[in-house]
Amino acid sequence: MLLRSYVWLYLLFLFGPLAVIALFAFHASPALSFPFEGFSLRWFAEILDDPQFIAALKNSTIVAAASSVMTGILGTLAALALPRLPKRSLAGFNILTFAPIALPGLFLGIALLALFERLGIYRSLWTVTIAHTLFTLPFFIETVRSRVAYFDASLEEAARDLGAGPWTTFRLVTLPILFPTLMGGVLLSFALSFDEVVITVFVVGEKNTLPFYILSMMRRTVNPSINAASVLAMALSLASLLIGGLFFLLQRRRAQGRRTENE
Amino acid sequence: MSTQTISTSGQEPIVSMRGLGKKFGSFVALQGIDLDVREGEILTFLGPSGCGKTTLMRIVAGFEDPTSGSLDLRGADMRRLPPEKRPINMVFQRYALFPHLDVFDNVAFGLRLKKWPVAKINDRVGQMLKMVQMDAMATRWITELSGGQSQRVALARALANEPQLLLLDEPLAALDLKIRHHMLAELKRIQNETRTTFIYVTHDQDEAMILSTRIVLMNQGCIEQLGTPDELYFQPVSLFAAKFLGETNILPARVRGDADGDVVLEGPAGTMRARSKPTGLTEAQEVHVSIRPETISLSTLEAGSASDVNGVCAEIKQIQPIGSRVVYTTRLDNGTELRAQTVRPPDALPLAMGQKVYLNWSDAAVAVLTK
Repeated sequence: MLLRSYVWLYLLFLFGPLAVIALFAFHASPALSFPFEGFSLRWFAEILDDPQFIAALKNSTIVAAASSVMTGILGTLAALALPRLPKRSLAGFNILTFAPIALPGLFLGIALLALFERLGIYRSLWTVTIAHTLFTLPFFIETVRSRVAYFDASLEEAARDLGAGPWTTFRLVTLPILFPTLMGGVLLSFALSFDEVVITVFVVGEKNTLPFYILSMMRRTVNPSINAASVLAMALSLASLLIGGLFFLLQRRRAQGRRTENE
Repeated sequence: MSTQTISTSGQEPIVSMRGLGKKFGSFVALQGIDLDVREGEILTFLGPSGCGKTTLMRIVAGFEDPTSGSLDLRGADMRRLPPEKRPINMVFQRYALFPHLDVFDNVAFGLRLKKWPVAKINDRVGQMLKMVQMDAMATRWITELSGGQSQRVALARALANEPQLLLLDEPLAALDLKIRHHMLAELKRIQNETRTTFIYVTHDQDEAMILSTRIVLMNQGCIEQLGTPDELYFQPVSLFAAKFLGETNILPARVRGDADGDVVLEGPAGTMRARSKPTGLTEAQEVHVSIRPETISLSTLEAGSASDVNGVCAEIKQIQPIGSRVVYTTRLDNGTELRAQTVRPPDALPLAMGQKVYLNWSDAAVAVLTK
């Protein structure tokens, strides 16, 4: 009983602040405290009128799209190669893959900054994209690899047996079957990239990303339009996560169907 | 290793293997395989798990490379040919149907790769699905099929390509008993219709006996015996072969000589005569003999015309009715046990526990095992 009420507390703790922000994003008055004085979309109108916000939103979308696609390509190749590695080197690879997740982002940010300086690479959305690819890649591999490992190798053999070369087999069998899983991983990477701040701080150039711009807004004034901006950013992240989740679900249902049929 | 020679007289082999071997690291999976697959036959690779039967099939399919020996298809070297270039198709153990395609697209997969015109593909797929009685399910998803239905689709998908050789890797292992017997009959019918040469891999002796034209019995990477189901059952050449197929009585024996073309042997069951004899038997050689329980007949002592060749007196120690048959375990005076099997009569059993009986068998029932 006590544990059950703890679950509610836990959820309140997790989502309470988000709910407050979401609520005040629709507040009719500029006051950021109760009592609540009615609903309005004025803060959304204001923030969408801010050309800098729109630019930041665009930048973040470009970076998230570019880095998640790159992560998708590099990560898929890695996930496909993993089951073919000898067992002993696999353990080493696991640790190495996981390291960027465990390392503080600060560390990665400083390291990348130093690297870009050394190579004379001018900081821009490109450097942010590279940094985000690096950051999201381990998450992608971690989420995708178990599904890829369960991929039935005899399906590829069947395709070869029916006359498909290695590349045709990948195109007609491996990729379509794994597509929902890989798409889920790409959308997760998109969401991760979209609100990444810590590493971004070090590698960002003149063009702001969205979370970075919201931070700088907060430094200037405490304005309710920040709430509206946050809600918009949250909605975009959530949407990509939800779509990604749908893809995962689709794949699992297909796998389950196959399993029950085989038992 | 088997010293049996393979007769290919009058028939050009479709596949021929000479001295074929396969090593995985230091593990020898196959060694010295000499085998010809004849046009139109159902050749079964039979053996316990780990005997190399699956590896041998995978080498024929092109999924494994042999480490030694030759592999020819109609006289052409196959060793460097990748699986997609071989005119051979396979039915996989767990079917390996493509889950993202429906039944029709699965069967059409190979034909589309061959760039057949659409109308021709439609005809062929329809014809194949009809043959395996799945024509009503062309638009079903693979995940909606039962095991038996998946099996049929896998068969149609492989045969649609008109392979010169069809490989079947334990295709019935994942099915339950009832469907398995039905599918065996179906396989035989389909083989008859298409006249395709089958290589069938199984560890199940019943499947092998029912289906095969010839059986390759394998053990520890070698061919133990090659022959028709009857030859393997009644004339096993080794202890392994005799024990692997069906129930049998194994007795030690010593060769005593020849009489009227039969081999005369001496053993714990007295003097025996065997009609078939392995080559190279020498006087006083120590061998084993195998006598199938159903070839031994029992009679009461009074009724029996007791001969001391291929016949002994014994006492019934155990009576075990198993469905349609009865197995009697009997013990000779010297302690040797012999099992005899009869058809179960509809009324009471004629013999009782502890009863003295006379056992006898014909010289055709005795198989001499030299190894």
